[in-house]
Amino acid sequence: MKKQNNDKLKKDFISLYRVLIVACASIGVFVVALMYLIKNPDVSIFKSSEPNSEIVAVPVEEDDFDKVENGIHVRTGFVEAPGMMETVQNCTNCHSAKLVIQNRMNKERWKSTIKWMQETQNLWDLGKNEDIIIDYLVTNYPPQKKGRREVLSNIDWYELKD
Amino acid sequence: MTGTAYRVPCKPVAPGTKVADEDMCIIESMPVKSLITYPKSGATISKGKTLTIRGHAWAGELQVAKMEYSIDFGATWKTCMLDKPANRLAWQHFSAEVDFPQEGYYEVWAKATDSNGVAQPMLLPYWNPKGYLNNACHRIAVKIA
Repeated sequence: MKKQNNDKLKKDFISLYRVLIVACASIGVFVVALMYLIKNPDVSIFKSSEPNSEIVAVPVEEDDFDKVENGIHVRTGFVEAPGMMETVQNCTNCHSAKLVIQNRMNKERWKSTIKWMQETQNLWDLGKNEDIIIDYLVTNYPPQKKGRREVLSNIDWYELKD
Repeated sequence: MTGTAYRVPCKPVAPGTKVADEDMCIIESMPVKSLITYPKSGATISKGKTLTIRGHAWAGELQVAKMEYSIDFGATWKTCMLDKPANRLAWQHFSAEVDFPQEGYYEVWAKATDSNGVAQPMLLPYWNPKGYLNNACHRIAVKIA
């Protein structure tokens, strides 16, 4: 009884083994065939006679990185005047142009501010551009004398409805 | 941070004074300040109408204790309604009903006083190279037609 059982188990095992080998071989053949189809689209069953995409002419866009509109350098907000590009190139790599514009300083204070940036903030030697930049700044963003309190001006009058 | 950024002269100086770097001190506290947020400057209202003003006030690490407004350039001040802060250091809402005696041009000035009794100045105080700590009173223009 025990021996019979063992023989049956052995037979079952052998047949299972055969099925497994056949399955593995089939999968292998299938994979190879699939690879061939993917690599060689000429014989692909997914081959279509129509092209998948059409070629559209894209108009070449103008390089407007340094566009100036109404006298204002759009990217930074600086006013267009001699020395503007030197100022853009040497100042706005590290900080916003607003930080420059809000500091209305004279020549002497700009010189000391540049010296401070060179000594402590790794600003490079500006060379001949230093005078060009300072001239641009004191000409276009001169110090404003506001006094201790200004008269309210440019009031936009409107009717307040309740 | 060195230079003049976030620094003011340690001792009060005359406007325009050149201050040496070692005489500049870091700002450690913000002074009492307020803003009128309603109505926008330039409101025209008809004679006899009451104008409601609203705004916000804050006082650095302190609390705003009193809020006032003036329509005669600081000659007289009237008290505003002032809310408690929602939590410590939060800004505080204020409001007032403002009446005007006759037609003409007015400015409504707002002035907050902190819990130490220190108020906002009407003029720009303590000149400093970068213009920091300007807590002068805010004002709006109003026309009575």
